[in-house]
Amino acid sequence: MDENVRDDRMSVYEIGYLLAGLPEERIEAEASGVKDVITRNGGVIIAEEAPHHEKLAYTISKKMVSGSYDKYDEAHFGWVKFEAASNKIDAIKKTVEVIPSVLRLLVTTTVRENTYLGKRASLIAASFARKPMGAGEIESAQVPRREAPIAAPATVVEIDKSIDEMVKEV
Amino acid sequence: MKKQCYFSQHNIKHIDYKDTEVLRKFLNPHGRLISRKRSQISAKFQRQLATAVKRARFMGLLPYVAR
Repeated sequence: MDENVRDDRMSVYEIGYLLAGLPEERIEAEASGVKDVITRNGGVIIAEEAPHHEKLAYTISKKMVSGSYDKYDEAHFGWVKFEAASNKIDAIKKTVEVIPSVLRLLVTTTVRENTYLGKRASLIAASFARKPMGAGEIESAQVPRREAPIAAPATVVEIDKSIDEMVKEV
Repeated sequence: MKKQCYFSQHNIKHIDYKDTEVLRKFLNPHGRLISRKRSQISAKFQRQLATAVKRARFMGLLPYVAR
């Protein structure tokens, strides 16, 4: 009996999915189809992001009914965060998985609070030095220092020459 | 002086696999994770980071191998 109680416990989940091989106008309908599956299984949607076009980091192939493989270099990535009973999540996953346009599906447990930085991420990323060892800073600091001593005598010599020439002319 | 953990500095409690811009900062040009010694992240966040990078790779947001 204890196990039954544990199975019904509500948890926060997130589904991330890739849609591919669809015309642009059908993307939204497919995304709402995913949300329908969640709500039909008693899930409550907390947050979501509509699928947006994404260039994939590598080519993903998907086996078609005919047995051949379709290859995709780009897809639409969307996600939904929701609360659902832990005994329902398997059914949700299996239902979304078989949607033909779903290229990849990732179900994760998460927290109710917002974890996605979104646009804030680029600002935070920009504030981070690429090389944590400080090598980048040393290099950039040395460049002007190297240039300055080389540049200074060159200009002094040039000035001297020009002065000499001027003196000769006089 | 020892550098503080990047994530605690920015008050990030959970690392999300969708924040690929942040994750990329901890990958070398080959797409492999930078070690804790170099990244100087706390053990807790380095573990979270590793999971997030693996999830992002699966979803095609980050490469498994690059170059």
